[in-house]
Amino acid sequence: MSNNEMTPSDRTPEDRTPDQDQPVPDPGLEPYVERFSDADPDAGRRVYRQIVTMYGLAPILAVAFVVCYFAIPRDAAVRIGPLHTSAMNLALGGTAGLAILLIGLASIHWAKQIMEDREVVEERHPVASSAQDRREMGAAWRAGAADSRLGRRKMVGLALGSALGALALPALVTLADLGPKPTSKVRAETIERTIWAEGVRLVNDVTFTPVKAAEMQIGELVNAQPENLKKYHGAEQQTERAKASIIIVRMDPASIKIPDSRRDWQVGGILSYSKICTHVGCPISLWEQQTHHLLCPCHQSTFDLGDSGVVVFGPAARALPQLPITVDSEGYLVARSDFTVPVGPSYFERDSRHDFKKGDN
Amino acid sequence: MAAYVASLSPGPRIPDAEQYSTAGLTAEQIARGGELFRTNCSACHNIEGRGGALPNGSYAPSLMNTSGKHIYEAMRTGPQQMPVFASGTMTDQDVKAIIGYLNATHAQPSDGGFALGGIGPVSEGLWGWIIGVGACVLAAIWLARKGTRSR
Ligand code: FES
Repeated sequence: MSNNEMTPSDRTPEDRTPDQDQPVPDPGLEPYVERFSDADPDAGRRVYRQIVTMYGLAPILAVAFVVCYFAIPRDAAVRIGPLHTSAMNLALGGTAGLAILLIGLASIHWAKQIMEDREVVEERHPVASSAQDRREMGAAWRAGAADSRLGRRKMVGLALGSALGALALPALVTLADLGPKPTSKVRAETIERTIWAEGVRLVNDVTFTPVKAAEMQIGELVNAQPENLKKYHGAEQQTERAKASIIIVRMDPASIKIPDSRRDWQVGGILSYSKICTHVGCPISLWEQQTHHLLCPCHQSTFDLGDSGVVVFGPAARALPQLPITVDSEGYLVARSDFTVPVGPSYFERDSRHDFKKGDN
Repeated sequence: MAAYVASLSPGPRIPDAEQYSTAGLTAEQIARGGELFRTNCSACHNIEGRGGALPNGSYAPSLMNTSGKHIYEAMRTGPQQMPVFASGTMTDQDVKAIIGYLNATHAQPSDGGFALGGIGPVSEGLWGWIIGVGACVLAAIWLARKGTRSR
């Protein structure tokens, strides 16, 4: 290394004044060791060649970019193993990206291997401004305060303060638009009820065909809605659908547990449950017909539809609400009433005393 | 053999070709098939029919290369954990529409790079993030390194 400055490696810990106020003694710097590219002329030349080559490839890639731009048909596609992409995108991105990458690599290589390798120490300077700056700042502040004459006309300051403070009021009042206040009356009309009611037919989601009990087979799953959902439109329909969605399953009555209190909620092993997870409300229809387990894809809560929808796994805290159903005079499935408990996720005021718990009868 | 098995128990017949053939489906019917698929099937089979995992090591198979006949049969019989979708609520016409939707979806060219299974922007973005940020971290480590020395 050819420089006549004192490199930090020339300073050993001994010839420094010990910093008494530092918690740990300064260990000094590691001794300086030359790079390969400085110590070995061959290595130096090799690095030099590498850098020039990398820079030299960039213009070639730039030309290749232009050629690809005109030569490749816009709709050509390539498949390379799992990669399935537009040939044009791949070629343009590949050439331009590689050119920029090579320029970057060459620059860093140059900085690290060829540029001057002198190591320097930069001491940290204190963060605080100098005492003089602080004095001047204080004086300017006081002079400004005196010029404002606030000391003599105090009401101006007070008036400004209350003017700004009062502006918080409009901002706060508009928060009322976040929604109706969830009083118990509002809750009872919104999240605590659905459009299910006595006699409402269970119809297939999408096609709206009513479901005949006799046509359901064991192991069958139907994603269903209340027939009266058709009466709603737009946002209102979405709101009602979000609460009223159900799944209907048919299981062999001998293979499931039906509590006495829910004997007449089902028709020969046909049971209907809310489709809305009681954890945070994802729609669930991932039902395993052999285990009777219904798995929520969001956080893996699992409900046993063969046991009144109790939670067998996962973060959900409450059983899936069951919809009491029966058949009408034509043999179609109809609801006996609305859900007996609110469907969907928990909320602060929810009364969870009426939910089905494992072992209830 | 099939006749012998059929003689042992009742069960759905092997479907005729016209029960699952998608010939003559209109664009509306295919779109309706998409609605039916998303409502009834996508929970397990993924939104594009690429399959998915179920509890305890079982899985819903990919439908990418499943024939219309096999889709029809699976819906009517409910193999393994799959529920039955019987003709009372899911007519032959509905099944056809679903098969038509799958065929139409799978026939669409997808030249957007690596196909991660239509798993959605969040999961695909996560991969992009891991690979992109990972590369940035490696580059930063290289930049900050002192480089090799002769001793
Ligand atoms: S929403 Fe179903 S487990 Fe979280």
